[in-house]
Amino acid sequence: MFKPEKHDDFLIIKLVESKSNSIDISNIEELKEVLNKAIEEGNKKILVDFSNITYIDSSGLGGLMDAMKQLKEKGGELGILSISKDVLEVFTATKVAQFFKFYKNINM
Amino acid sequence: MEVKKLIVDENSPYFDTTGMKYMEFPSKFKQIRNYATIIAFDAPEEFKMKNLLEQQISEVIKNAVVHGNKNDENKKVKVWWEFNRDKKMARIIVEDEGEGFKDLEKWNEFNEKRMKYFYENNFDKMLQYISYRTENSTEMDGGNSLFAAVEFWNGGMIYNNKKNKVACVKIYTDEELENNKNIK
Repeated sequence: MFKPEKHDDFLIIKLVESKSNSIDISNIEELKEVLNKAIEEGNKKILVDFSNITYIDSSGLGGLMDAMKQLKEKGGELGILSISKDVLEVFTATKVAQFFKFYKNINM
Repeated sequence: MEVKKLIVDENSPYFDTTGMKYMEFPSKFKQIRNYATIIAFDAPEEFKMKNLLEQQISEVIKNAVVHGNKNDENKKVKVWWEFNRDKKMARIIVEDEGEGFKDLEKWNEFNEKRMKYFYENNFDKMLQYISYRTENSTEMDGGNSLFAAVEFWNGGMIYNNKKNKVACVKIYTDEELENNKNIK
């Protein structure tokens, strides 16, 4: 499941209690629901925590793009936290990396 | 009875890479599905068939990484791809640095027998042909991924003479495209 947690200005959403370590067709709808709710509640700085994510499929990327657009329209920003080099390669190779802000931790 | 075969045709027009996208990847087993994401992200929604297209792309790359390059990260997998709405076609070419799929003809013979018994409803015999294994098979591949691949890539799986390069072609029917428009 995806669990949202407040940290200062940020709302951090993390995949917990899952064996898959993936954001893909099996759980993207759930992540979109959590993101939509967070956006509706007025959160402007939302981070998706990738520290335990080793795989993202194209529906996962599409879902994050949808949420990013929605949040941008409301003056907010969707960031990606603690992504591995391997998964970052998926964002760069598909040319969507430019739409997200990447954080090593919530201070940078 | 129609049995799909792996084809060897060095001069197939499906090896023409003009206008195709291209990337090369190190043979990292853990990254295979992420490589497939990079490629499938370009596909129109109606080509994706939920995640079937992505899975099948992943299988072809896996064959190159595991069987071709033997998981040697210093060896590269080269991939070209195109998703053509006008031709209703997905095409991917995958090349590895290995010695080539030496057992290709044996695999065709094996699959032919397997399908023969399937069509004859001879399930006892078919059980002997459930899983294709060679001395190069690993516990992880089960020897079966090509059975599904050869059905999915209905426009053909065409190998070069060395058999270390394969062009996989999927032609979509109008019905498939119409059905896929409505699912995500």
